[in-house]
Amino acid sequence: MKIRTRLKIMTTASCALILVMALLLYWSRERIATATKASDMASEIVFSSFERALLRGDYLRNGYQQRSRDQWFAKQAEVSHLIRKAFPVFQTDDSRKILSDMLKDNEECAVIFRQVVANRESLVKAERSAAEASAIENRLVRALLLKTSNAISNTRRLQVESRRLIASTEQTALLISLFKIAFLALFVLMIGCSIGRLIGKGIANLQQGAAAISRGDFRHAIPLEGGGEFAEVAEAFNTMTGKLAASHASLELEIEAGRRTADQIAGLNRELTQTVSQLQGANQELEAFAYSVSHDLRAPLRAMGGFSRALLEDFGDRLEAEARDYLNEIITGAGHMAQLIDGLLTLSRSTHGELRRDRVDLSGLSQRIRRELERLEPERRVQWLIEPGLSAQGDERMIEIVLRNLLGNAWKYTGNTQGAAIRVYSETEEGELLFRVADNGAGFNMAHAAKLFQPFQRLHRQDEFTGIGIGLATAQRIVHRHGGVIKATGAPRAGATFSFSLPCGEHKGATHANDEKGEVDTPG
Amino acid sequence: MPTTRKEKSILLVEDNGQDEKLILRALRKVNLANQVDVVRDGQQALDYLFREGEFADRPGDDFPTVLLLDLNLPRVSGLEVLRRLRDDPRTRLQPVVILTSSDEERDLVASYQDGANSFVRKPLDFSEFAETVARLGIYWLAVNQAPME
Repeated sequence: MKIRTRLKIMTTASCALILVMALLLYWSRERIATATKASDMASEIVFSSFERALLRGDYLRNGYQQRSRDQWFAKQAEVSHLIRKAFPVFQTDDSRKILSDMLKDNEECAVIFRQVVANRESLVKAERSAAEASAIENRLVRALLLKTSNAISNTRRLQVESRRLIASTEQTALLISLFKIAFLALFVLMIGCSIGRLIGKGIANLQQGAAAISRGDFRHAIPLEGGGEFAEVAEAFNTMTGKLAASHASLELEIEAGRRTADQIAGLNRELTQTVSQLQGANQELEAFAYSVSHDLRAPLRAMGGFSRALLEDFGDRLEAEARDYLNEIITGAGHMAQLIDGLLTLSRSTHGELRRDRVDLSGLSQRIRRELERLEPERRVQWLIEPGLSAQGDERMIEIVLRNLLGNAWKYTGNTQGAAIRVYSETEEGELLFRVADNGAGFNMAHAAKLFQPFQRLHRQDEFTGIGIGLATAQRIVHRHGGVIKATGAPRAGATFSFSLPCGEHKGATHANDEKGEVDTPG
Repeated sequence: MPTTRKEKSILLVEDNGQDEKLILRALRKVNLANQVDVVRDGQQALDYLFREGEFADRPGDDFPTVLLLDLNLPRVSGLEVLRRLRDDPRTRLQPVVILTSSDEERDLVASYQDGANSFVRKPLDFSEFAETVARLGIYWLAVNQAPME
């Protein structure tokens, strides 16, 4: 049975008992009221009887007046009326009998009093002697007194009866009340105990379940005992546990997967660390290689070229023209290889070493390189346009390599161009400042543009334009190390334009803005 | 120990025989070859200068006018030789010219820090190389005023 039902029953029973108590109270009040009324009536009868007795005495002692006689009869009628009126109030047979007796006695009193009156009148009419009349009267009065005292004692009995009724009513009500209170207490105790037991057991079950779950035992099911709310709660709890178990299981799977992933990541990290250290090793080897190249490859090269030159100088006159030509080829080859070694060394250095942050005057640098180029080939006529005030921030030695390569290329590839022109300027493209080196020389086919920046890839034959094909690769590496980009546009026989950015530095405009700001910040 | 130099001389420290030949040829062209002594490594250079080991009996008591010192040397490196010379009161002021294939900046800086008087890179081009060596010889032997100790 549900706890709610039990509580309802308890409440209903309590209400019913209270109602019965109320009824009982009403009943006992009614009975007590009736009894009280009966007692009052009895008292009234007694009182009226006494009054009547007084009236009788008045009549007998004060000259048998007409008025007294009439008053007596009126009182007599009143007593009869009171007795009749008392009939419905007194319900026991004994009382009724007493009342009937009283009524009869009362009627007989009337008869006797009438005889007294008649006796008195016969004395007045002298039908009887005074002594005889007096004797008769005394006898009648005694009978009357007897009746009256009889009536009074009857009335007393009635009063006693009433009081007994009140007492019994009170006793009955008390007994019933006590019984009901005891019953109610017992009932409440019973229901309360059973509810308590049920709640206690349910809570104990739930507690056990919660404890089991907190221990991680998701298979623990709470027994669905006795139906009711706790069974419902237990069922809900079991459902919840089931779901919890399912989600716990999936969570464990996820954690396991996560652990595996973490292991994999750790493994990958280890591999990465290994790779990095291998790369670092490789880098160091490369540096060592470059260093060794710079020292050890040069010496034999110098020997090849040097002894060939010495042979030519010291014994040239004894050699045939063809032999001298061959020696010259050796010298040329050695020179080319020397260039290659220098180029490779520059390329290698451009990716290593610390990057300095200098303020680089690109315009001034370009002018210097221009003068060097012009000094090497003074016969050439090239129109130069170098925008003044170009500056950037970066490693000056490296940026010089970039400019040297780009301007050197422009110079070289305008070698066969009439009205050769080289322009160095800056332009903002999509918010980025680009430095451009443009020429109107041999140019290149854009289809091969991807090859431009790869080392040792050349777009021209050696007999067209000499070169080792490493300058642009170096320039690209340097620009990339400065966080910038380098790109080329061009067309065959229509010139080429190389653009690069150096975003880690400041461009021209920003420099000015900073200068102005500096002046504002430090007046005087 | 004040000394008067009877004869100006060059000590060439060079482990590469081919470079040595080319250097000597260049010096010969300017008539300086007979004033050149050659050693092949750093230890020999120190022994020569301080008259130790195989050079204990080297005649004369003077030091070369100038030392042409390569950096990449067997046994004792060029920089080590330079440091030892600078640490010794007898050779503290000895003119030393670094003549090397290296154009590494760290070598250049280290050489000057350790007290080199000059740093010359061996040019790859032979004509240039010969010219450079000849100029060096003339400069240090004829033009430059050596310190008197």
